[in-house]
Amino acid sequence: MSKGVILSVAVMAVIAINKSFAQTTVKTDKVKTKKTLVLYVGGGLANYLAPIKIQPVNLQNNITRTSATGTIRIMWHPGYRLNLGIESGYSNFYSYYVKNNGVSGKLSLHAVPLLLVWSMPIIKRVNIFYGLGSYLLTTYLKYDGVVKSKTFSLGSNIALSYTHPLSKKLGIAAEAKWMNAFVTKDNLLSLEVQMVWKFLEF
Amino acid sequence: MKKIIIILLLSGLFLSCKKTYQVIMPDTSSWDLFKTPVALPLIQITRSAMEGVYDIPEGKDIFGELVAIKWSYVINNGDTTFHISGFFGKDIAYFICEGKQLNGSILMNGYWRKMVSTETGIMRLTIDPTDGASVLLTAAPLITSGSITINGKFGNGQEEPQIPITLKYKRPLNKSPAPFQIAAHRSGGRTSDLLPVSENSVAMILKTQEFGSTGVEIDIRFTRDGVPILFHDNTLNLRVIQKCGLVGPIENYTYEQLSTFVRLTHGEKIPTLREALNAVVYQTSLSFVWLDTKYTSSIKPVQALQKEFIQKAAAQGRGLDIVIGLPGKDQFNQFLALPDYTTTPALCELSIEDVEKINAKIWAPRFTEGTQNDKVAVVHAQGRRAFVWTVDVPEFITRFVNEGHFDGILSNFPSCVAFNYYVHE
Repeated sequence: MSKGVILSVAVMAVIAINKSFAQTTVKTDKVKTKKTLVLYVGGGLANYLAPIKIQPVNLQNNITRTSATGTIRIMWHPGYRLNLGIESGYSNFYSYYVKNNGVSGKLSLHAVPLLLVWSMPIIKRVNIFYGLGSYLLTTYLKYDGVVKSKTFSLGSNIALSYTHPLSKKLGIAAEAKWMNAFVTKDNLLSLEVQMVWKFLEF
Repeated sequence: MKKIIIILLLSGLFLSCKKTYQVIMPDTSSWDLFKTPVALPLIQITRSAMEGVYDIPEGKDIFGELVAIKWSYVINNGDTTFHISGFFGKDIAYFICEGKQLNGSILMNGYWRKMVSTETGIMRLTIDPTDGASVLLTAAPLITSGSITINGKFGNGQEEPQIPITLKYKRPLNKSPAPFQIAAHRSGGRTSDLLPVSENSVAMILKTQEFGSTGVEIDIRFTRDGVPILFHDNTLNLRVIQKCGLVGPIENYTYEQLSTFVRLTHGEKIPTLREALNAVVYQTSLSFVWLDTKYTSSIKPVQALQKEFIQKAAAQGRGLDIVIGLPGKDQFNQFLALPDYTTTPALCELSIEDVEKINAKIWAPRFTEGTQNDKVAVVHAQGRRAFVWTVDVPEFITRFVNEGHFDGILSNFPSCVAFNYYVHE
């Protein structure tokens, strides 16, 4: 894992600790904060940004880099500025067709993020999200037989989201997200529309 | 404002990347004198006479006190290419040049590299007629200490060579104990050491003698359709292959799939074991192959190829040992399941008792166990050999060569082993 990622996590942790100390002061003032669980579900389009060097079949022009993407995320809002949650979803990193000695085939690489996510509001209705964890990558290969092969890659994402409230518990959000699988050097930029549902309040 | 600073800081940290190191091999084709059509190749007698240990009166601050100079060759499409290599004692440095004779002088043109860094550059060397070339170019050269002086210049990166270097013949190369195997890991060197060819490739097998290797260790796995191939890691990953969309265990894919989609870091195909052994037997003078068993299935297919290529090497008049490496109990038990295991050449990394049980030709303990001279003596008394693996720290290599009694060392830095072995007195 790069030093940058470790440092960013450390900075996040420091912020979280600071905020919890700050909240301790608030609690002594007997102000009770509401805790909520918020579900984000959405989808959109994603574009694979990292370079791909497929020398054997030399099909740079035939690589499909843009595809549909989806996100599901549950955030716990403890009533402080920093929120914590988990995120998954589905993205197609890229795919391409091959024709080699008269034999055709198709390869695609898919990813399911499994991330621990922190978020905080930066201005009204705008939140920043940072996720750290792993991507489950799956190769689907149809050439000389069918292969479905998986591996994990450490990774992260960072997202900027604008939420427009529709009701007290529902909202709609527009989100730009950059996904980064460090080990496999895969990067994806997505633009999504998400439903935001404050489904539990206590 | 504070929030914005934090966000910018986080974004900066998030986007920061690890530094990528690379070695850009210098283009050595700019020496017009070397390219002149009247320059002739050197004959075998001259090449042999040039081999030896040389003092470095000029350039020792960069390369150390001594250099061991040795020739190697590879055969490509029937053409034999010779390279002269110099193995230095400092910073695991070496030079690799081609040699020619021109107007009574000997010219050597190539590059130098330090394995402890990314430093490299052009190296041009000359032996003038009065500095020993006139003797070297005779039919029976008589070489004594100080009778050959190699002068030259080297540079950094692609710059024209400007820094002077002088090498003075001191003594012949050490050849004791003999035979001693300088075995190179991963078919000759690791991709991560920024070599110009990929690990576990045919190109590396053809290159590794220039680094001083006399043998290679190659890593064997099986494809889904049962083809033995050369690959070290458990999974396809960017450490060793180019990005292609294939992930997961290499055993998930057929050879046809790997051959079509996967290229190693420097663009080579993943070779089959047959292609690799073919290159060893017909294109190099390597005398030892260690077939490292990275699988736990039957050893039979590898044993069949081992037998076939031992016979082919013998038919070529080649003294070539091909041994099946047994790193663990699983592989050991698979080996025991072979009907003729006691006559199948093997290298066993386990105990001496295990070595005796399967009648392995070679015992190969890990270097962390030390020189173990008493145990090596036991193995020698049984008519077997002992190799140590994988020794990469120069100080340890020096200690194993000078104080140990092993018959071979496996290393990722064969040039360092070569230096220590050839200069050993």
